Amino acid sequence: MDEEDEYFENTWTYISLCGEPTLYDGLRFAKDLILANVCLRFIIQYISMPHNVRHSLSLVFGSFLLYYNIGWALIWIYGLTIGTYVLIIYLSIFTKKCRGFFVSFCVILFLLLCEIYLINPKTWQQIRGVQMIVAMKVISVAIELDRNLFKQMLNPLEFGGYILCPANCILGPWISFHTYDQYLHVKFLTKRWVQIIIFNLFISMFCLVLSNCIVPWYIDDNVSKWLTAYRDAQAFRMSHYFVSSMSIVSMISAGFGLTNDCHSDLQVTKPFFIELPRSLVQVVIFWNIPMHQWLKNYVFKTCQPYGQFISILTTYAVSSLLHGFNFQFSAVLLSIGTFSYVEYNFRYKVALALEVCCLANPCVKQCEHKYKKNSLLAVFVNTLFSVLTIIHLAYLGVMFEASFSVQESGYSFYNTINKWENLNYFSHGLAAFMYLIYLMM
Amino acid sequence: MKWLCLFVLFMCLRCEAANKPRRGRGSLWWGIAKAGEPNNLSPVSPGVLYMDPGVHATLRRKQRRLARENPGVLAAVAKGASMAVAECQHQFKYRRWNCSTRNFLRGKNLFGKIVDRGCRETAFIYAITSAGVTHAVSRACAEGSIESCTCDYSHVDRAPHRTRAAAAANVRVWKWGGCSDNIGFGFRFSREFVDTGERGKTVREKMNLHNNEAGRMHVQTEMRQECKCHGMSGSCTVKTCWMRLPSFRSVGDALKDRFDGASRVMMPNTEIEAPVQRNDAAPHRVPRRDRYRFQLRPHNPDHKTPGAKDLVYLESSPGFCEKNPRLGIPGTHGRACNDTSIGVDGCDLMCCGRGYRTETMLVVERCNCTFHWCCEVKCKLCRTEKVVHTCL
Repeated sequence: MDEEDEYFENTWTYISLCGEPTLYDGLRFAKDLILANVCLRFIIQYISMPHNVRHSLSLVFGSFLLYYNIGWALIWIYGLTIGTYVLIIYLSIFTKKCRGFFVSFCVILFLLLCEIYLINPKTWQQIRGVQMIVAMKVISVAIELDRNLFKQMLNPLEFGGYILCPANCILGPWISFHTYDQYLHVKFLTKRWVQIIIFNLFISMFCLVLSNCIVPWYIDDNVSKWLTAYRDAQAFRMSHYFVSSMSIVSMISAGFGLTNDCHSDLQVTKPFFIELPRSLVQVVIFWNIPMHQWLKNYVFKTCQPYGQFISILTTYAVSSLLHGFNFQFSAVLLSIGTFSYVEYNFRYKVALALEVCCLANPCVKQCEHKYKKNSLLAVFVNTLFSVLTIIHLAYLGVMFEASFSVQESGYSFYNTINKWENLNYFSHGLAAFMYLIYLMM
Repeated sequence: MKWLCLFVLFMCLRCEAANKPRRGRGSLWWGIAKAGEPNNLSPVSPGVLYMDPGVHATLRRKQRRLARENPGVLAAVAKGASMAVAECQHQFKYRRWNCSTRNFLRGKNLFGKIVDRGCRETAFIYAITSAGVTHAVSRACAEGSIESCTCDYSHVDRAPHRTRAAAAANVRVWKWGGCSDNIGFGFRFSREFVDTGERGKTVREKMNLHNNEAGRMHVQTEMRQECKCHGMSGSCTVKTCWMRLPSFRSVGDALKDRFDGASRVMMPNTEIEAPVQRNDAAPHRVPRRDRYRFQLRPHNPDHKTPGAKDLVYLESSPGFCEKNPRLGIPGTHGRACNDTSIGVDGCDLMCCGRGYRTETMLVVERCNCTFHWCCEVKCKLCRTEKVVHTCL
């Protein structure tokens, strides 16, 4: 009885000693984010202003917010923004078709140079996410210019306001310029607005505490290595849910992403579809929905004329390069790409052979297979594939669990290889095995 | 004859007088562990703890000043002390010396006269109590129940020598929870509070200082700040940090290991001061922390010198078998033992060969408990027969 009490007390102490400062840090971060965005929203809402003033307001608030969060590393963001704007203007003189390609090339080159030569690893890890968002926005503008989606070239204020918009310059999500422009004009605010902010803030704080305190605690260090891997990967996923819901908080508090009746129509990630996944393909889609749309819309579709394989390869290459020149990310993304490709095809064959609804993506309408999705066989096969996906996710996510100094200054080659070696390259073996069966079928 | 009597009386008085300052200088504060228990001191709530005269009597002047300057700290000290006592009794449950505490009386030592001897048991008592205070004060700091250690830059600025002292002892100055919350406060406070009165002049005082420091080291090395990055795809946009404190049980386990491997150090008149590097000391004033700069030398020259986390003792332990009022040892008469064990808790060793009595007792305890929603636990009372062995 005493032991039990003591256990509870120790657990409680642990959670409170971890949870309280974690929440404190999290809320401190949220405070700045919400404050900047709410100020922007109130000014837009209650003072009618010309078009360009709105954009410059967005620019100013975004700059302040960035300065408070990353300090003088802000000049790199400015550098990238101004540089690409000048580049787009300059390119427009010569070409009307290839701006997207050149801009993407230069932006990625700039990011790689920054990472390797210019910025020290600590600062780079701090601003990497911000730079990524900026890069995505710039590339989307360049490609849309190529597609003639703008009546005329954006003026610098519009461009700057879009890039540095406080609602999504720090944590994302990516939105297109047209959506941004449209959100800047809508005025749907009711009491629900506050409710949505608080609700999402609550979710994000919950995920933060789960990620920092509860998930690392509920599985002990010295159980099997697969459970530890699962735990570490889950802690990383929770951190991602925190970031995603926090990005929704920042969007909503700026009044972005609201429908006419003040409901949120934003969705960045779908935790339930990732924690209990149907397939890796679905995880890739639901991990970061705006990023997925961006890749699909601007990279995959642009490359489609050159063939299916090339476009898939380019998509993964661009997504990996946007994350920086880093063995860790390249390895993880490439592995995800291969695994999901194998899985997709394998499941296609299995569905044909057994006549079961077990494709990587659920059937949209009526299945043409004999065993529908609620049949026993289908449930069984899909559960089996789910378990495999969970194993894959543990295997891939374990990469991101590292000591703080590693997290702060970037992951190394050895870190990656060690972690996978520890798990005997299981998932790679599994994928190869599945591919062999696929070839034989 | 009359003169002889007087002479003996006089000698006794002198003995008393000579003994008195030796007896646990600065360690009377252990009595605070029992503060609030009935029949010792009047029950008090933590808030008014420092007002209580009974508690005050156990504290030295400097300790009272520390308690006054840091409101809330005394409750933490009391908690740490009682935690230490409980842990000590847990660790020594099955040994001849079971860390028994005496009914606390004003002016007497909580653990009895055993602390007058510089033996292993004394070493453990000093280490565990100092660890208890460090642990409890650090935790109270982190929870924010001590005002003077949370989020206060001025506190650090006002006492720069303390910060330097902390740096000297390799205590990292934690920046935690966004403000300069100093978890090293627990460590420094324990030094100031627990080590009051141990001037480090005699070898016994050095032993106490070393063991106190060892207890603190055990807490401190496992106490660490952990951080984690959050941001888009594993970048480090948001940094969150928190503190991890070891469970006191693990500190107790570690100290018990050190107790078993404690090193005996040399008695006086052979002490040689180790060469001291004073590169970080303030030049104009001799700081008090110099009392921590000493090197105890092992009794057996072949053994290596005790490390910072090792326990040290001066003399071998007395036998704990028989009652010894002079040392305040109650003996193992009447202790429960295990007749099947061949270890120290076995009846042969525990009863020191005196034999034991076996009784069958009818024990009434709660059993078949069921949980009813919500929130009630219902139990039956079961009578079970238990065989109890007690030493003669």
